[in-house]
Amino acid sequence: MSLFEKKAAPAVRTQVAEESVESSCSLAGVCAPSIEGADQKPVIEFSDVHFGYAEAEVLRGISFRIQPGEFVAVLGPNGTGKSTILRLADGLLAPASGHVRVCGLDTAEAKVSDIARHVGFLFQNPDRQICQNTVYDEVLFGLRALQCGTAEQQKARADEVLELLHLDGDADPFNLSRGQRQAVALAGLIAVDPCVLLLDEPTTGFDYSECMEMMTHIKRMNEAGATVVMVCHDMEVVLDFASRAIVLAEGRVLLDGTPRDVFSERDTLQRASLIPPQICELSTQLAKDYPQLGGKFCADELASAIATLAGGEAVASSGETFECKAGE
Amino acid sequence: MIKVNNLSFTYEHGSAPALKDVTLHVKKGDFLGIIGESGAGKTTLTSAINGLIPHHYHGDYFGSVEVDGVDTFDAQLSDLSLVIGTVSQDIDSQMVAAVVEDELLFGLENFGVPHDQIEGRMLQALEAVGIPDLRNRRIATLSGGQKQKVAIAAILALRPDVILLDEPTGELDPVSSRQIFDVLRELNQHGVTVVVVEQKVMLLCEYAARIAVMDKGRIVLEGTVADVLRRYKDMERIGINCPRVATLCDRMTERGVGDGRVVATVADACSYVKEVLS
Amino acid sequence: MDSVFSYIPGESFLHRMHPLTKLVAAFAVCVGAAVCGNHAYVLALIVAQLIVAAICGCFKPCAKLVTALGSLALIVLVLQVLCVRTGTPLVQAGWFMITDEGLLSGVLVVLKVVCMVLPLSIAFMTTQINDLTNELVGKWHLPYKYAFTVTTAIRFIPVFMDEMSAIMEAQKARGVRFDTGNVVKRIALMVPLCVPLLISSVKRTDAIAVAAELRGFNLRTRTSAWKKHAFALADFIMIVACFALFVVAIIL
Repeated sequence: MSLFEKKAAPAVRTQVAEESVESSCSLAGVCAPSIEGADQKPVIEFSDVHFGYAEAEVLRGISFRIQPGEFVAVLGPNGTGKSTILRLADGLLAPASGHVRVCGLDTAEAKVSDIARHVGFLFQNPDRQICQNTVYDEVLFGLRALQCGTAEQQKARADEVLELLHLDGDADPFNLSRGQRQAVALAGLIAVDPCVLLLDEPTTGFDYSECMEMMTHIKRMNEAGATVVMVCHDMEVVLDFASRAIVLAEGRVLLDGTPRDVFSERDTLQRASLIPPQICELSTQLAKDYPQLGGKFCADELASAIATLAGGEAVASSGETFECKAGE
Repeated sequence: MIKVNNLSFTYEHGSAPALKDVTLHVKKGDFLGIIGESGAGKTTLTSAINGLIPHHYHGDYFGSVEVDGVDTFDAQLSDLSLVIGTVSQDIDSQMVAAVVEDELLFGLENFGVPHDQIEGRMLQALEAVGIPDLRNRRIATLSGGQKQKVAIAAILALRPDVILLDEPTGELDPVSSRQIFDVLRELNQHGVTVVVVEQKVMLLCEYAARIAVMDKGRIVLEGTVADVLRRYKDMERIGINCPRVATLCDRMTERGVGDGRVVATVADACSYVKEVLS
Repeated sequence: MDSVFSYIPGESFLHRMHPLTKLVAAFAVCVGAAVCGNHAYVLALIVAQLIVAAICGCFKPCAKLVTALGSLALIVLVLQVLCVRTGTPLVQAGWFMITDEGLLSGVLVVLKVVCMVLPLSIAFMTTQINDLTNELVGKWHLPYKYAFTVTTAIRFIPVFMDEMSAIMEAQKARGVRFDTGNVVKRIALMVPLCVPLLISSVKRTDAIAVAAELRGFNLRTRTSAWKKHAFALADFIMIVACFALFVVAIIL
């Protein structure tokens, strides 16, 4: 756990970077150069990116900047290039025009293996990532591929990550459930301590508790300072976990803002064939008749507003603030 | 239509039973959703219903499964599959052909449907799922949602009484998922019994008539959507996400507002709240 | 992703021809090219095939195939040129020697390889694989199980290719260096990737078997096929023409 406790919050990243240089594991702070002078310099920067497969143009001029420590959800219907954006950000694809910069590297010039030192990519299907016979070896595999630190350090780091994700190192990954295999794949990624995590539908096909477990791990990584960019279809997960949502449609950025702001734009969302989370939707519909009920995002909040309006035993006073908890 | 009686099953090489004393009755024309965590035995239950257990997968089998009055143990797998059409979880594995039309033909030809009926059945099946325009398309060029519809059409062409689907929307985006359930609802209204395993509780609450909740090889809750929702705290304990409007209803009740009802869809919740406030 | 066997929809004369005709014709040209020793004739066959491909709307994948084969053939050419030591030397420096015979035979091998691969690819590109199996089972009494196995295998080539490239991508994203030179090293890096591919293939195989079983696979008989393909005049002409080409190849 030590590696993560050190990095308390994104706000102290500069200090963190300095600190981790002298840490026992040489992997920490690999991104240090790009983080110095912290808040102005984006971790990921897309400037007017165009991209197409064969004849079809998928991305038509995408621009955005992602600051260190952000938790960004990329939303949109299938086939609008959400996964393409992640692949571009990892250098697996190069833009047809425009520039993609990650941790100060231009993806068109840098080698994927160099980008991999800074960026972890979790695919939808963990089985494509897992290729070792034990969970422990699997976690070591990534460390070895990137030649991070000495053998001793690698082992120490693997133990640390296994403990963090509550995984049994001796288990055969192929005997685990799909949710656990995804956790193993994630463990392999975070072992190298990337400063950016790219997640391509990390919870699609999972049941609710698997999904929550996965998201909790990811959230913890984010709180430890990693920037997260996630493609996701579950709007409630986005509402609960993301700090920013980018909505794509027809190859362009349609909306970009906090999930709350984005989900309030009901009509625009429809153009991206997205359905806002239930409570948002309900709150918007009720607001037509009862304006006081508009702009509510979690059940507690809305229930209190209704209670106040109904004049019942309103538990909530008007000044009360609500914190929407994950999974509530 | 389907009667599962006190069924327990352990896979040949499995250590723990996958199903424990499961009893489930599905009537003709029902729309049943099965939900539960992964590893709860949902897929095993579907295999028991369509006859893959005991005909393809072997193991310790106690209890009985009757389909249309016939014990699956005594029936031929191919006879069963004419009564129960199964759409499997991995859609790419189910596809046998390169072109949509051939995909539909495969089952029709195998079951020896008279050749003069084939054209009519294909058209009807394609129309039922709303994809007559895809007939000559290559399957490799279809989107996930379209492939799922082709798979359903291929099963429908065989005119089964029951259609059984294992997580048909697992890899689909929300809009395509709803389209698949729209298709299922349409079929159900035309008399097809639908049994669907699904992870997305909100879809089930909106479309299914009945829900069975599985946990660790058992059916722990079963009933109409309203019945099951009323016990949503039990569901949460099992680890199943409840629709957030159900949580809202609960929060309203806690605050002494409303009549303690639990609803699952936005539309229902909207009218409920309006009723409370007026 | 498409393989060289993927069907390309179309309405050309080859598309409409009987599947077995195309198979027979393809074999005739293939064997003809194999036994022929005349450079000009083999070259002419290649050109003729590319023209046919263009008419059928599958020129692009064919051209791609030829260029892909070209790089492989180049190695064969070099080996052949260096190994053949008979004939008149054109260049000579110590043991290193290029003879006219070596050069000619090298070029012939390259042309032959290209000429032999094209006909089957064109046949597959213009034939739906299911039609072919149905006809093989119906007319030639091939057991359906074998035919199904072969077609499924062919159909899954692109699926597995996709799977493999997805796995490669996933590993690349983890920092496995497929982009560094050394072929031996690269192959060593590929080996662990076979594990996920194998796992997914085995899982797939069972799923395919189950799905086919549930759709009455084992009830199928020789006469099950609904689509009927009749031999037409065009088929007759095609077969005669290809046999003529075959005979000419032997004579030359």
